[in-house]
Amino acid sequence: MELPNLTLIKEISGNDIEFENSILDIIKLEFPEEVAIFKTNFEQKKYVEASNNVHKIKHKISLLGLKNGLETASAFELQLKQEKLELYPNFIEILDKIHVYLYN
Amino acid sequence: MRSLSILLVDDDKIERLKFKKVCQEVDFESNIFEAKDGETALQILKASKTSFDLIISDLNMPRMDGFEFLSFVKKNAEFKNIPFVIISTSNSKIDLDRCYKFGISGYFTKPLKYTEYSKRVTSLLEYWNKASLSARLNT
Repeated sequence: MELPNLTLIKEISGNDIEFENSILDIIKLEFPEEVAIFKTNFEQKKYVEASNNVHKIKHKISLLGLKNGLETASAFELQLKQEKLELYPNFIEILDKIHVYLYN
Repeated sequence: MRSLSILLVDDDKIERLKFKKVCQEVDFESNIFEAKDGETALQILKASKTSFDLIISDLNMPRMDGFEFLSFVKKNAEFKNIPFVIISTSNSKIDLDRCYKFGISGYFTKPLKYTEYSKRVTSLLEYWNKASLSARLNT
């Protein structure tokens, strides 16, 4: 099973621990806010807005090394624009995985 | 090396950090003004006394997206000659064509690998630094 990891963030940071921590701090701060906005828009059936929210969240999915997760998020982003919702549970699963990784 | 004055427009704080990191790594003395959307970027453009050498912008942003911002800049007599480069995750031909119709000076998609990103940003900075120097020598 694919799990979040710091490989890409470490690659970006080189050996710069301060930079690595800056990226992680931003992710930890922004991720819950972005997810909350996404969920609100999704519940209110504002799917175009929700698609834009997924676009923003998927950058964090990518930074946390979730390659399959990124593909799912990209597909879901497109689906939402067409008001298709099949990948919602898969996307929520990715978000939950990240939440556990970041805050536990 | 002369410093470039750059207006960097991206709603993603991490992307802005990455760009500034490349500038530091290649010892490029850039004067970077940051905006998180097109609306803020416009305010900076209008209020700033700086003459910008380069605008680097994302496309997908809240409030005013990259297309709207680009359209405004290219229709404005004061700003239309500032080179405008898009750095986006979108590899859609429609987006690319739309941007080129507005008269952008470059477009690259954000690669996943940092080394590749760093190379592309470095080339971009070097190119526009030379172009900016030439323009100044010719005036």
